[in-house]
Amino acid sequence: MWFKNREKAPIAAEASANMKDSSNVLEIDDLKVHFFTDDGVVKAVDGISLDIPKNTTVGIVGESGCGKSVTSMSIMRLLQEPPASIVGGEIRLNLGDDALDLAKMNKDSMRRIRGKEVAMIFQEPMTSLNPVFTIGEQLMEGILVHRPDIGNAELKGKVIELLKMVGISRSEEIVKSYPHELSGGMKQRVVIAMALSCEPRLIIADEPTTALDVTIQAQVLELMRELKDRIHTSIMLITHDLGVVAEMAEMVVVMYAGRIVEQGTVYEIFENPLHPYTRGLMKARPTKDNKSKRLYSIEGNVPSPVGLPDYCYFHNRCEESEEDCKNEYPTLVSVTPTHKVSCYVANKENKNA
Amino acid sequence: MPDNNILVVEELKKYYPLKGGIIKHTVKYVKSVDGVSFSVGRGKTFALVGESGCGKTTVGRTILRLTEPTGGRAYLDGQDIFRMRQKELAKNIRPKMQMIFQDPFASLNPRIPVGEAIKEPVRAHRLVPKEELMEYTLDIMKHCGLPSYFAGRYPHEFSGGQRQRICIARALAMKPALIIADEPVSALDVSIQAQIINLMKDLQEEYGLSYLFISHDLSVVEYLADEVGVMYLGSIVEHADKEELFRNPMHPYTRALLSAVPIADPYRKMKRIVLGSDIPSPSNPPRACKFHTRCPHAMPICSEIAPKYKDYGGGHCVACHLYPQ
Repeated sequence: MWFKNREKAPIAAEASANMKDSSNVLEIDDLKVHFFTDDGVVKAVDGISLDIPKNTTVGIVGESGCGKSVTSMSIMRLLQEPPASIVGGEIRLNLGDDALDLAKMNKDSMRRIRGKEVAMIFQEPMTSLNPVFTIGEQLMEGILVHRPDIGNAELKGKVIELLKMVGISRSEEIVKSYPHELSGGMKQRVVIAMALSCEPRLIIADEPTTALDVTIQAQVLELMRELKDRIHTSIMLITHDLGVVAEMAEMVVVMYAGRIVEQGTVYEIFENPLHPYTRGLMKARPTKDNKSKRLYSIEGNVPSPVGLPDYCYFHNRCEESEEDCKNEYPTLVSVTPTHKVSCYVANKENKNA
Repeated sequence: MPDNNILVVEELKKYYPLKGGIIKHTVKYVKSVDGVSFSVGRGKTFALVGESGCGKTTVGRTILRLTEPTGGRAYLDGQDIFRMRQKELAKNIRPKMQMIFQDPFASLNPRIPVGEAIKEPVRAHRLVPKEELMEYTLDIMKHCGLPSYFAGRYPHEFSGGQRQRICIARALAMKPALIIADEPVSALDVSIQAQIINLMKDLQEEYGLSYLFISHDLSVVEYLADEVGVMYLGSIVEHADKEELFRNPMHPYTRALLSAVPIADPYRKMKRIVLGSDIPSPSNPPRACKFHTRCPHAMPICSEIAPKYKDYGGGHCVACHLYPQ
């Protein structure tokens, strides 16, 4: 294939970095991604820091427009630049012996990382597969790009093995079929197989089950959980469904309007949610145990990303807001070594407790 | 027909022909909806639940005659909907029966200010005198949580939740007796979803509306519905009061649906019933009980004889061989 003998672009020297903690796969440090549009600067991601330890699932929760997808796209460097631009911060990827700052990588050398070290599962399996190539061809391409010297027989065997791994039974036939011949759940399995093909260190799953039915969602989540342990990878799970997070993730990050408002282990977040937004999200979910007549709802809308205020972005929708909240944007304060929250009210309560 | 039901649907069928062969004749039918019966009580909410492709949307559309039914009967307030001619339909039925669609981004005309969009059907049906039209529109908007200065704005200026409010206002402006809501909240964020659900509940109390609520999300259904019908491949497999259905789901499919909903509690990594494989194609559904290919309790009889749809007490109807036929 055309890419087989392509020369590999060298990795720029300034892209090398040092991990803060070698047990992390990925460290995001004060990442700022801004979009320069005609209407002004959209601070889609504005100074977020998070770590993804080895072999763990980190869930990123937030509503549409909170910057969770932009975060994942900037790790993969798939954002269109311009209008987007990584204005500041580091995205350090642990490669075992050394580390790379993905924020400083150039376009060509990023090809060596995508798919091989970091892979992505997109929301819509219907649109992330190419309709004019067979499933087999699309799976092979990913492997060939990173291992051009692989033999034909080995390649075919590998593809069939991958499909078996994701629970597709008639894999010899499926290899020859086109995406439209498969159902939504099957397509998402193929996309997962594709992400696994080079055994990446990190898999970014951007709303992997949102487009699927509940019963199929249950199958896919089960599969992802099983595979994570099998190939020892980390998963960055982006979702707006707190139920999915509770089930899959070990660490949770809650984002609002481009910033992290709360982060912690899954137990801390669900047992002791501190930020009013996190609490609101939990109460707003219609659940079986929630027997009250009316659903709790967070009034108002997510603020417009252009011209955000200087104070807490959630202030206008917050029920617990106080005088202090009109001060400058609250910093993330550690409550426990793992649990952090950025809210004046929550911090005050904590000090008193 | 009992008077306390606003809508009665009997044996509703909708088949789509599949063409094939050289001369493109009809080779077989896709039985998208195959004999569905239910009724919606006055001021009550009936929910139709099921996976994509089970025919729930088709049910909603055929009742409004947006697609023509193949068979069956439907009565709105005692009037036979399927026997009416288009003119009568427009005059007698459509004003009383309104629809809210899933995608608020696709169901509003981008070139018409929202005030006009809400006003239009009221004007067409001469529901209020011309002079009061503007006042009436603004009043409806207020009830749906839309400030009056929104009336002159265009749909693109609004967020998803606001647009869904506009769609609700447009449906409500006709003072309908029944609103068919086809997945009205599934395109919205959680916090906005709660606002819309509360709005729908408030309006129901205020105007005595009835809803036919079509959804795949059982947690939302539990919140809104009074009665629930679970659909699988074109037929209702279980039907009961909301409380009864959620407390005592009888059909294995209902149980699987219920257990598939993720629970926001990290301590409860529960055992769930994971259904094998996907929903079969409706053009070639399994024989006898359509669910037997995925059912964890499938028995030999399930692939031979279709189970009867029977009442097992208190209006809890199930079609399954697990229970005495």
